[in-house]
Amino acid sequence: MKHFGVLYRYECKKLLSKKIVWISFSLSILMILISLFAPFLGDYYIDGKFIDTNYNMYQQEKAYARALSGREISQELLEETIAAYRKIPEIPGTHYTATEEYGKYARPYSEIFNFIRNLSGMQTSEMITSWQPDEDDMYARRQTWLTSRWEDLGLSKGEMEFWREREEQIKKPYVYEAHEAYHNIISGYQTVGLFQLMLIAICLSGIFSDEHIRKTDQIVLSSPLGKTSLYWAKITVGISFAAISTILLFAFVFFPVICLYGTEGFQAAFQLIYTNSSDPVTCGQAVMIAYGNMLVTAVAVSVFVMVLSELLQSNIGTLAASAGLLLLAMIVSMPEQYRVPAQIWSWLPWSFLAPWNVFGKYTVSVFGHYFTPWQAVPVIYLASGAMLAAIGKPIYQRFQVSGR
Amino acid sequence: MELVIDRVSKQYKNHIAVDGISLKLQRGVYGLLGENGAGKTTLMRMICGILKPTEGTISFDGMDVGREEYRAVLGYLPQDFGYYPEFSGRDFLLYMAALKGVAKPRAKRKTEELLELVSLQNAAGKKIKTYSGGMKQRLGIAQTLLGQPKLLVLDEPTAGLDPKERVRFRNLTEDLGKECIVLLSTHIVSDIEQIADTVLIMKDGRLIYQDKWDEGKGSLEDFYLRHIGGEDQS
Repeated sequence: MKHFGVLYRYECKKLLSKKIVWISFSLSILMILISLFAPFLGDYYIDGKFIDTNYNMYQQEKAYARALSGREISQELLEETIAAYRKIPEIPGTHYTATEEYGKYARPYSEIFNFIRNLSGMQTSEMITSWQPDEDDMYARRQTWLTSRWEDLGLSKGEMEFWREREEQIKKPYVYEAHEAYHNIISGYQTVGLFQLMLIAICLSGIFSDEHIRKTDQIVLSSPLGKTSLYWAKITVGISFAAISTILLFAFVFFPVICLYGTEGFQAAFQLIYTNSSDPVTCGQAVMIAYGNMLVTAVAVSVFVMVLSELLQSNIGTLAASAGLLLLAMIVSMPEQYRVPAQIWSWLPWSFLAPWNVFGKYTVSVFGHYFTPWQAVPVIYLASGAMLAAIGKPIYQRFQVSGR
Repeated sequence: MELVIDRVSKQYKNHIAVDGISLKLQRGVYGLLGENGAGKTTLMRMICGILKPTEGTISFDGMDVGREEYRAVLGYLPQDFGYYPEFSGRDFLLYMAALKGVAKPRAKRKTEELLELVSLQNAAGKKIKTYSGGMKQRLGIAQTLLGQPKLLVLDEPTAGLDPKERVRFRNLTEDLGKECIVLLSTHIVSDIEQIADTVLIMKDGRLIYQDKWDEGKGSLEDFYLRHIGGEDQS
């Protein structure tokens, strides 16, 4: 492509000279930082009773987590945990976490207790009152609970077998490790993703339509390279913007979180964060997978927004359509019993921002080989992005300047 | 060097903007006159390949209007077009040079030459958003001359220019007409009278006059008003 480099540079200049780009990027960072630090602000209450400041609560939790770090979640730890929780007296009208005994005996084990509960699908009351701590029973309950979930999701026998095999690949017994940093990064994934997609919609909605609005399309499209090289230069600028801004937003999450919580927990099992998952990955790997998926999602959405911008020839229209889809995904959820629509819905870019969809159970089978969402969706997105870019090219090239 | 416009028409739903125009233009300056809505801009857009004719063909030395090679010999100044407000005048010309496929070293040299030609060398580094209407128009004229065009299509090129700039533009157009085909449209009949070798008059999408004009034929303005203005002005 002739003069691609020069055109790319000038297209970057056009994009980065817009105030809205810097304003929306700064606001996104600000909102992300606020969401990271907000949990430390204010006080912690139970049933209207002041317990402690959120910051002190966090420091305490951190100390307990450090104390448990490196311990296997095996029979011994299960027994310790349940024994500690059984010291909590039953006081009518009082939540068990508000009791003195909880703070004294059970709270140091709360991370393990919650992990067991979520892993096995048991109820809190059942665990405290009647469950006999048993490692084998915990895993058996997990398998029963997972199978029931898979059936609810309408997974095929092949898919269930695939997930069973993946579940077996997870190293057991689990080893508890403090992992707050990765937990927070995964928890903030959806927020960052929403800001990122909004940023793309705001900043790239004018990349093609601005030429029509400013009426510069006349000189651009009558130039020798205005119909081919320029189209690809604009698409590449949009993709670069999406990719670089995703990396920057990730950096603005990653580094403050690492500074706050430390780096430990990279090798911890991902199930410590997301117990539903049957992916045999570590917390650190899960963070990389999730943000890698966000990068690809951002790239695909950037192409969608740019092509829409050429099609609608309106910044506002493009922004409204993109934001509308984003809101729709937040408001509407597809019932699980409708397997195919539910899977498509959960794999749409706007829904795929949720970590439970990235590490979800729906798969794609290719020649009998199953692929998880985070393996299949990026490939689908890249192919869709390439296809959209190819579809957008003739739309751009055939634009007719009339009616002005 | 020949631009062939062969039975070109442009029809919108129930309105014919250009109605079966055929023309063969060779080196020289062609002045296109016509009242608002006569179809001048539509014809020019079709010549520049940014509007597809409903019927007919346009080619330059055998190259179809849709080809990149055709656009490579074209310099186009639209009637009403925007700029990139955050670009400087120099940036704008360098950007346009890249779009026209001009190699970098040559683009830099040509940009400086053209900035001088249109008297913008002192404002070359300033952002276009700070330019006056006349300065923007001169910058627009400069961009048409990048890449050694053989066909120049100038839609209302003198709009916004002060009298001194208009004289400079006329002289420049006369010189360009010796090297390439210049098709310019304007409402200022005197501009056409002084620079155009051939006068073209459009009315209701059709070409109603196409010939050389000389002083022996009298005033072009009177002639134009007789043909365009109808009985009231005749």
